[in-house]
Amino acid sequence: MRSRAVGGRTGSGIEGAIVLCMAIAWSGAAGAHTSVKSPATEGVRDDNAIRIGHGCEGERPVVAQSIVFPTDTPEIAASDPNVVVGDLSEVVLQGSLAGLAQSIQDRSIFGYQDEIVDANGNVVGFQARKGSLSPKLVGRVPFQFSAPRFVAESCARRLLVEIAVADICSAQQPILDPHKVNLWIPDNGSLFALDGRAAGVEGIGAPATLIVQRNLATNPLAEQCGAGFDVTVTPSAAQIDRDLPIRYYWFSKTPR
Amino acid sequence: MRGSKRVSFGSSRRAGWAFGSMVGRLGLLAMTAHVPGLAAAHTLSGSLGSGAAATDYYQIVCSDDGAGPPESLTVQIQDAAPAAAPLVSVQVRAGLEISNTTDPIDGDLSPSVAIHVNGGPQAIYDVLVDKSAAGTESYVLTYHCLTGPDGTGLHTGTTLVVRQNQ
Repeated sequence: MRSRAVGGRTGSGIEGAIVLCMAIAWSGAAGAHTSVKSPATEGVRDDNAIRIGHGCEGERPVVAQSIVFPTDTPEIAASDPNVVVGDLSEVVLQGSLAGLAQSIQDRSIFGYQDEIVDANGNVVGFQARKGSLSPKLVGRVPFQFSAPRFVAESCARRLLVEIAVADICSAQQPILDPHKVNLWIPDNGSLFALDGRAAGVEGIGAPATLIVQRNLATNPLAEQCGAGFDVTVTPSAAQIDRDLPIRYYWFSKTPR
Repeated sequence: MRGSKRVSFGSSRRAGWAFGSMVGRLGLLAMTAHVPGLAAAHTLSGSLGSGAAATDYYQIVCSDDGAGPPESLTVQIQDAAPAAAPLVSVQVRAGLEISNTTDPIDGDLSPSVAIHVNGGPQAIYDVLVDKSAAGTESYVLTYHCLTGPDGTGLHTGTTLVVRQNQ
């Protein structure tokens, strides 16, 4: 459990209890997962951010980061077990999330930023390095997102975009070590998930999630949809293994 | 094939970035001077391969960036130098509405007549760039989403996604 000193003093009795409670509260905040700051609304472009809750084990600061959106043959699942979604185009008009996110230039944590692009040059993720996030502080990595629109005939009311994030504290071998990286990635069979879990790395199975909300006022659900359902889109294991590494810096080859 | 594009803060690149930015701005000013009212536009430089059927395909996603919900898309195409026989055209489709514009003179810095397609707030625009004959061609595509019909109103969120690059 991470803790933060409160004025460097502790008291007895009530004062001590207050201090203890505050320390526990701050520990909870500092121990938060890496996550997405705000939900998005369909058809709206807005700024958002990846929230970094803490560094690596041993109070190690985050010095680099890799972020991958689900754009290449992603896994798609509906919250209603009776619904099968074959393709993202059944849910959102664009049919793909490639090109909808863009990194915002920011020097508060990292000194070098890069974008991951697909074969067509569309942004599918971001990478950053030459940074240091104080273990006492939380971090914000800003990005712009143009939220996709829901297909009118779809019964989806929310699109849950799972984003794979690697918070890197050291790029030295062996890389998969809880003192060197947190992997906020889906547990879906990627080499990062398999080897990371075996090494005790934190975050596997807990990717950051960007929620895209349907605008029910302008794009209401059809009557037969009832309350509708959520659709979750997740980066495939293959895309994580291919796009999460930072070329020439961190896992520039496959983990094994 | 995976690639990357870089944003670096290295001090050694600042002079080059500043110069390139100035040149880019002058180029954009020269282009917009030929098209009154086309301000705050997005531009993309592209090329078509030698085959006569070479086609670049983009999707333009309009969104509300705070200026208001989108209503229309305005597009122009400039057939860039060097001058060659083929003429470059762009077609824009939203739903059942489709429009075309062609730059009649290759390499003269003047773009085509602007076209406007009214897709409404829910539209995804299909944009095709093609040419009239075989031979490689370079072009500059100018596009922006607006809050009013027929290219009026305020500029709003404009995102281009590449679907096919020939």
